[in-house]
Amino acid sequence: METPSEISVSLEFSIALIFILTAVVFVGGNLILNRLFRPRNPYPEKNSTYECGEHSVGSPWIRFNIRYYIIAILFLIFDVEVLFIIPWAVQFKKLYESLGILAFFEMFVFLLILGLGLAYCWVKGHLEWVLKDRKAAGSNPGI
Amino acid sequence: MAATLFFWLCAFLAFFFGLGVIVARNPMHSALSLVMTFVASAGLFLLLHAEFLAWILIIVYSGAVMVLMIFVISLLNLQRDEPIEFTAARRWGVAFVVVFAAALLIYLFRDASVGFTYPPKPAISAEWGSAKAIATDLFTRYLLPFELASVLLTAAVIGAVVIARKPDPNEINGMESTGEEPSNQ
Amino acid sequence: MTELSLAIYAAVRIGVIFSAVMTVVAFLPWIERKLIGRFQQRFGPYRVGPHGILQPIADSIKLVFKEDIIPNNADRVLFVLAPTLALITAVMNLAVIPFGPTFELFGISFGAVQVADVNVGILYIFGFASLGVYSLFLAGWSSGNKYSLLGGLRSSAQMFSYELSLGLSVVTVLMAVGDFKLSEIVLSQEGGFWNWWIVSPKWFVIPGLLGFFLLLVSAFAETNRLPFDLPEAETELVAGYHTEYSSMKFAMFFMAEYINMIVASSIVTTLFLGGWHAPLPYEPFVLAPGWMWFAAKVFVLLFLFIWVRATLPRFRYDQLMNFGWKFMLPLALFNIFLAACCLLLADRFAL
Repeated sequence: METPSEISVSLEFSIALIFILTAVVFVGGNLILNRLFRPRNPYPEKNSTYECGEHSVGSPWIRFNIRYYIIAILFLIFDVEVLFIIPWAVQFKKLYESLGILAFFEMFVFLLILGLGLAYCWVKGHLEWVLKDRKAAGSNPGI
Repeated sequence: MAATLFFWLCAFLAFFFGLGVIVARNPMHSALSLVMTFVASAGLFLLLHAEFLAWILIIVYSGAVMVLMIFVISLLNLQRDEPIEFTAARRWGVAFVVVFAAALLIYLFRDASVGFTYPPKPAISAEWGSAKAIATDLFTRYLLPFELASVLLTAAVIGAVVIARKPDPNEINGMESTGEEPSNQ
Repeated sequence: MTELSLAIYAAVRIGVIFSAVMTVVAFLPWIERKLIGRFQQRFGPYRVGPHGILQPIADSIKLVFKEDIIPNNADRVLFVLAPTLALITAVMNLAVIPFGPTFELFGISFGAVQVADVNVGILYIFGFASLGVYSLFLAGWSSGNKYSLLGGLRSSAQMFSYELSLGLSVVTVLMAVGDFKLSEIVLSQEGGFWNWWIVSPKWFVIPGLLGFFLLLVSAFAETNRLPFDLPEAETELVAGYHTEYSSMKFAMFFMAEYINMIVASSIVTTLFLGGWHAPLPYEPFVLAPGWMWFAAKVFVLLFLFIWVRATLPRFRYDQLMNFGWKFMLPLALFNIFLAACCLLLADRFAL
């Protein structure tokens, strides 16, 4: 039975962690250095939101285009796909030795099915950033 | 020693940010606390030598799922916190949940002694949790679930875009006239 | 090796790599301005020091002494967090890059010029790159400025659109090497430029060339460099996500961008251009230490970054998205298929 003292982080990760701490110290040092030297003279006009010299109108937190949300959800799904491919890729040669050509086709089928999803979005126009009717009307391409 | 320190660091951060998720009044702060909770949990995975899984956690959950979450929060424009009214019913509800959760935890950990004794670990190989071990299992024994996962993901793609947006020009025009489509700057 | 000497070696490696990269980061803006000046038939910075070489130092001193403005409208916590996160995630990626083989100083071997050879290698960089998305989005969101929000939104959507082709282009090399470790990937390209994955005959050249192209284009997009610098498109969004930032916080975004450029160039070098290996495995070439070859390759790529910036106009946002989703992603998927076929064929003919 293992005792708690036997759990360990591997050496390389410990060093990487120290490097990360170095980065944190560096960033903190920058901020402190800045705090020591910078002047401080705020007044309402200076602290107002920059909008090319005009007074800011309306809330800055606009409800933005839903297309960003679609892109985000497509990214999430394809990101999961990439993370399925990566272990397969690393083990590809070994799998080929044990499974033969099946090692190739199992990923081929996986990609084919996901490719169908992408093709669906493409054909249905979900990948279009500018909607067709707006393009025809010559309006701006959106954000 | 260093590992124990690392464990407490990660555990503390995970707990601290986990608390932040429910305590923060600004939904954006909650979401970011959740991101940090995932990162701290990935640190705990490292202690089990499951480096690959730790990075999957960071890439998928911190890097993709939470970005989506943050987009949704921005999209719904939830940045202003609304004061919660503490009615009597709500108070009793909260009290009930707290007592129930405490009872559940006590029941689950009734056998654990006060000091730190770890439950006996099942025998695991040194390769456990590595990408190679996962690949070997996933692409031989669990091939069918793997292929089914692609079907599931495809269904998710199609479902997401169908629910989120109807790109049919007529419908868009119809929605625009009623002003329902989010404005496009 | 005792624990103490291990710790000292690690500290030396961290110190050397950190300070070396930071020096390059300090002078990269000068190099860039000088080169862009030349491309545009100007002189570039010329006043501070010979040929303006002290310009970056003057700039950084000026930035430290500038007032730090946090707009009233801003979410103060996230406003400070965003540049911090940008710089930390950028610096963290330097930890796993193999800059060179084992190096010796005063007869003592300090191990490889690499902070930590973690076994998740390339995934480590993906992980922190995906966390980097937050810094830009948060900078835009927390500023309470419309330009910033649009810039942050654009940059995050752009970054994760191209993260997919980035990940998929790397997969080809992983297939050929069979290991995540960046040091292993470098070692697999030993012995002359014909063994580098970009032109390796082990998979009939084409997957390597395609993968290199995909990785390079994705790297441009990930670092928000022209022609993909939509997030800070000056002509429409003032300065994009860092419109409201000033003083050191602005400098941190600036530094993060240059570190990301170095990291991106290093990854391309490590995966496709042979890492620290000399282009020809013969006498005059192999005499130069490995880290010099690595630095030379990285500088060639950095020059390419600057050259492209001076040459190409900016994409329109719909073009950018179309390019990412309709060209890069299908091509990257096809490239995996191609690489698998080529590797199997090579196996059949026992190359």
